[in-house]
Amino acid sequence: MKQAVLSRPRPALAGPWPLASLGLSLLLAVPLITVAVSLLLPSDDVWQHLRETVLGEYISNSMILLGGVALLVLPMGIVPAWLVTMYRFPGRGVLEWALLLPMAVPAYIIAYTYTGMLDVAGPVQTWMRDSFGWDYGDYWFPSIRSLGGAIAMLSLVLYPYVYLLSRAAFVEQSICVLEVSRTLGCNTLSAFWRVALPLARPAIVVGLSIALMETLADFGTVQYFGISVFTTGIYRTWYGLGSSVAATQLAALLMFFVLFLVLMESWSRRQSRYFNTSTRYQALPRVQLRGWHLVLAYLLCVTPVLLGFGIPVAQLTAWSWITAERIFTARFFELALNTVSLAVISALIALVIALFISYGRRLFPNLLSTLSFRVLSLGYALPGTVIAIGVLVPFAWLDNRLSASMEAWVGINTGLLLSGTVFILVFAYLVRFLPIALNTVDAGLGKIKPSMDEAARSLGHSNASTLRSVHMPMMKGTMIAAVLLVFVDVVKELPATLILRPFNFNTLAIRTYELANEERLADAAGPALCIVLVSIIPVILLSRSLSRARVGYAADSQP
Amino acid sequence: MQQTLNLDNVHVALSGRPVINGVSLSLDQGRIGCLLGPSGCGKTTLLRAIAGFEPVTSGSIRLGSEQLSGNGAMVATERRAIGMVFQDYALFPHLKVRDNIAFGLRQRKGSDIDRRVQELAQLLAVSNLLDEYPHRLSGGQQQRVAIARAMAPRPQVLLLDEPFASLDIELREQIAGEIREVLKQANVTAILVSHNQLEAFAMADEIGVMQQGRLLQWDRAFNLYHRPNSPAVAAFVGEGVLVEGTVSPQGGVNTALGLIHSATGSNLQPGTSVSVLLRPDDVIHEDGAETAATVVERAFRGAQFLYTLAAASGEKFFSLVPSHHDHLPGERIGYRLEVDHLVLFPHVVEQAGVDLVDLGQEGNLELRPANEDETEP
Repeated sequence: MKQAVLSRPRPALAGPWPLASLGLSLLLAVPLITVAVSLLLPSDDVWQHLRETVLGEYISNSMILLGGVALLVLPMGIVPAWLVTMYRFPGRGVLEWALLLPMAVPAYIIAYTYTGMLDVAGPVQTWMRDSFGWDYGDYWFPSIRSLGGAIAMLSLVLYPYVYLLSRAAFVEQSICVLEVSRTLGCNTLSAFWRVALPLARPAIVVGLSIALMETLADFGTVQYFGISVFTTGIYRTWYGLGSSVAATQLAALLMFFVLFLVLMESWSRRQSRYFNTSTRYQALPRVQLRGWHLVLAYLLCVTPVLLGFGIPVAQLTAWSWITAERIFTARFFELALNTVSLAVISALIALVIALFISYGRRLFPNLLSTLSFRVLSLGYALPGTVIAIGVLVPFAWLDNRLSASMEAWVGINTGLLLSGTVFILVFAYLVRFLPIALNTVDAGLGKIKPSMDEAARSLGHSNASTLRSVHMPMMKGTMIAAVLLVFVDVVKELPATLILRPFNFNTLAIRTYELANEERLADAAGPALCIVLVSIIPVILLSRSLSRARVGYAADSQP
Repeated sequence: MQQTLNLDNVHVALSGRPVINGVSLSLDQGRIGCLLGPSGCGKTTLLRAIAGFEPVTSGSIRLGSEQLSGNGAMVATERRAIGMVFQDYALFPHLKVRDNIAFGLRQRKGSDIDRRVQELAQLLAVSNLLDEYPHRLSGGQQQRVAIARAMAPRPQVLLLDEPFASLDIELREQIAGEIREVLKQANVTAILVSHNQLEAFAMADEIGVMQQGRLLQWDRAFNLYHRPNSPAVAAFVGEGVLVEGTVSPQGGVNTALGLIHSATGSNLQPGTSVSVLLRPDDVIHEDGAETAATVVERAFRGAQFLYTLAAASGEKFFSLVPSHHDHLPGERIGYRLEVDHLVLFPHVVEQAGVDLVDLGQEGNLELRPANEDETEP
C-alpha cells in the first residue's frame, strides 16, 4: 500500500503558488508604484518651471484632444454598428469585419501617411496646383500638423473600439424590446434613439474609454505634429531638461487622468450587466435597404474603412513599391529579425506568466490572487511613456547600486547591466501587455468546467500535471491567440521602445519613427507597411470571434 | 485485503458555513452505498469530502488503516485511491475515449495500459467507441466511459455524483441495475449520491438518508421503508400517513381506524399516545371487509391504483390496490389493516425535515419530505 502523504488542507492562503503569483505581480507593479510614489518626492526647479510655462498647455491640449476624439469616434462607431446590425444590404457581411480594419493601423503610421499625402509637396496639393494653375500661397488648405489633424488621425484608427462594443450591444439586445417599442408608436429611428441607444450606453462608454485611453497614450502622432501634451512633455522633460523627478511627476499626473478613464470603464462594464433585458433571443429580422437609404448607408459604412485603412494602406504600398530597392536591404531584415525576436520572447514569457497567475487564481481563489490579478490588469491602461519612466528609474538605481558594489568587491565596473540591455525592454513590454495575455488566458480557463480539474485530480494528476495534460491542450487556441495579441502589440509599440532600447538597437517601429522624423516619409512606408500587415492578425481573430458570438452559436470545444 | 471505508463524526464547512454536521458511517469492501436526500442536504459535499476536494473541519475519514482526512491534515485527492464519476461526466473533450480511460494510468507500461483499457471497455461495453471523441457519444455512452475512466486505476472506492441525473428517466433504473452488475463484478466499493429513491433501491446495498447535513439513518432499503427511525426518513422514503392513537394493553395501537395489530410487539407503556405510520401497502382493499371508507381521490399507476380514503371519522389514509378494482370517488369501499411492521413515533407535532400536510378536518397528517430550496453547492 502507498504511504499516505499528509498535506495541509485547502484553502491554503499562503502556498508556494499564490506567494509566487504575488511576488510576480509586485515585481511587475514596480513601475506603477515608482510613478505614484514620485508625487511624494520634493519637486525640483524643473517642475516649477514646467508649472509656470507649459503645464497648462499640456492639460488644455490633452483635454481638447480627448474631447475632439470623443466627438468623432462616437458617431463613427455607433452609426455603422447600428446599420450592419439592423439592416440588410449587399456587402453587409464584409463591412461587418472590414470596419475593424483601421485598428490595424497604428496612429503614428496613419499620421505619417496623411502628412505625406496632404503636405505642400504631397500628391493632393501638387495635383490641386497643377490642375488649377495655383501657386503655393494662392489657396487655403487645412494644415494637418495641428491639433485638429491629430484629432482626425486618432479618431480614424480608434473608432473601431466604439464600433466593436456598440455592435456587440446591439446584437445582444433582445429584438422583443425593439418590437415592443414599435408597437408603442416608435418608428425605426425613434426606436434607435429611445430604446436601442440607451440600452447600449454602458457598452458604448466602455468602447469610448478604451479609445480615450489610447488617445492619452499616443506619443507618435502628437510628437510628429509638434503638439504639447503629456506624453511629449514627459519625453521632453526627461531628455531635454534632464529631470527624472519632474518627468516622473508628469507621468504621475497623466496616470491619474488614465485612472479616471479606467474607473469609468469598469463602472460601465458593471452597469452593462444590468442592461441585458431578456434571456430569450431570436434572429434579428434585418430590414432590406433600398434607394437613397442604401446609398447613405454605404457612405456611412465605407467612408471610415476607406479613410482609416484603404487610402493609407494604398499610399503606403505605393511608396514601398517606389522605395523598395533602397529599403528592403539586409539592414531591413536585421530590423525585422530584431522586432520579431523581441516580440516572440515577450509574448512567450507573457503566456507563461499569464498561465501561472490565472491557473493559480483558479486553484486558490482567495483575496491574494485576486489582488495580484487586478494589479496586473492595470498595466494595459498606462501609456508607454509612463511605463518607460516607471521602469527606467528603479532599474537605473539598481544598476548603480550593483555596479558600485561590484566595483567595491570585485573591482569590475559592470555598467548598465539591466537598463542598458534588451532585458529592460522585455520587462516594460510585460508590464504593458501582460494584461492582454492574462485576460485571454483567464477567459479560456473560465470556459473549462471545474469538474475537469477534479476528474484529473481524482485520477492521480497533480495541479501542475493537470494544467499540462488537461487545460493546456484544451485551450490551445486561446494560448495561440494570447501569444499573437502580445506579439502584435510589441511590434506596434513605439514610445517605451524609443525610451528604453539599448544603444543602436532598432526595431521596425523605431525605424519608421526615425525616417518620418527625417521627413523621409516615402522611405518610412516599407517598415510601416510591415507593421500594418502584422497588425491585421488580431483584427482577423476579432472578426472570427465576432461571427462566433452570434446568438445561439455554441462554440465547439473540439480541437 | 479488506478495506473498509469509515467516516467518523465528519463535519464539513463551506466558506465558513457548516454543511455537514457529524456524519458517521462505514462501508465494507465491495458494498454499494447511497447517500439519499433532497438537494441542499449536503450529500454532494460529503462525497467531495471523501474524494478530498473539501477538508473536514472535525472528525475523520479512513480507508482501512489509512487516515485520509482528519486532525487538520488531509491526503491530496490525487494520492487517495478513490475514483470519482462526475454528474456532468467531465470527459476530457480533447482526448479520445481510449485516452480518457487511460488518463489515470500514467506510471504503467504501454502494453499494460492497452490491456487495462481493453478490459474496462469490454466490461462497460464501450469497446467499439474507443477511437471516438466524447462529443460524439450519447449521454449513456459518456456515462459508461466516465465509469471506465474512474475504475481504470483500480480505485478502492468509487464515488458517483448523481450518476443518472443526465439520463432519460425511463432508462435510469435499468442502467442503475447494469452499473450495479459491473461494480459487483469488479468488487468495487462505491458510494453514489442521489435524490431519487428508486435509483437508490435499484443500485445500493446500503442507503443513508440525509437531511440538513445530518445522516438520519444508514440502513438497507427494506429497513428504511419498513423500519424508519424518524418521521423524516419515513417521509422521504415511500408514502404514508400518520394516524394518532394510544398504545393498547393487548399490544396493538387503538386508532380511529380501529385496533392496529402487529406481528412485532411494542415495548411502550399502554396508554401512551403515539403516531402510527400507515403505508399504502398496509391497507388492503377487500369488498367484503368489515370496515369501509370513502374514496376521496385516486391516482392510476398502471398495475395499481393509489386510493386516498377517508374513514367515517374523517381520518384520511392511502391504499394501494390492484388496478382492476376500479372505484370512483365518493364510493365506499371495504378495507382491512395488515400492518406487518408497526412503526410508532412519539406523538408528532412538528419535526424538522417533515412537512405535515393536514388531510382532513379531524387532522390526521400526511408525511411529505420538507422542501429545501437551498441548492447544492
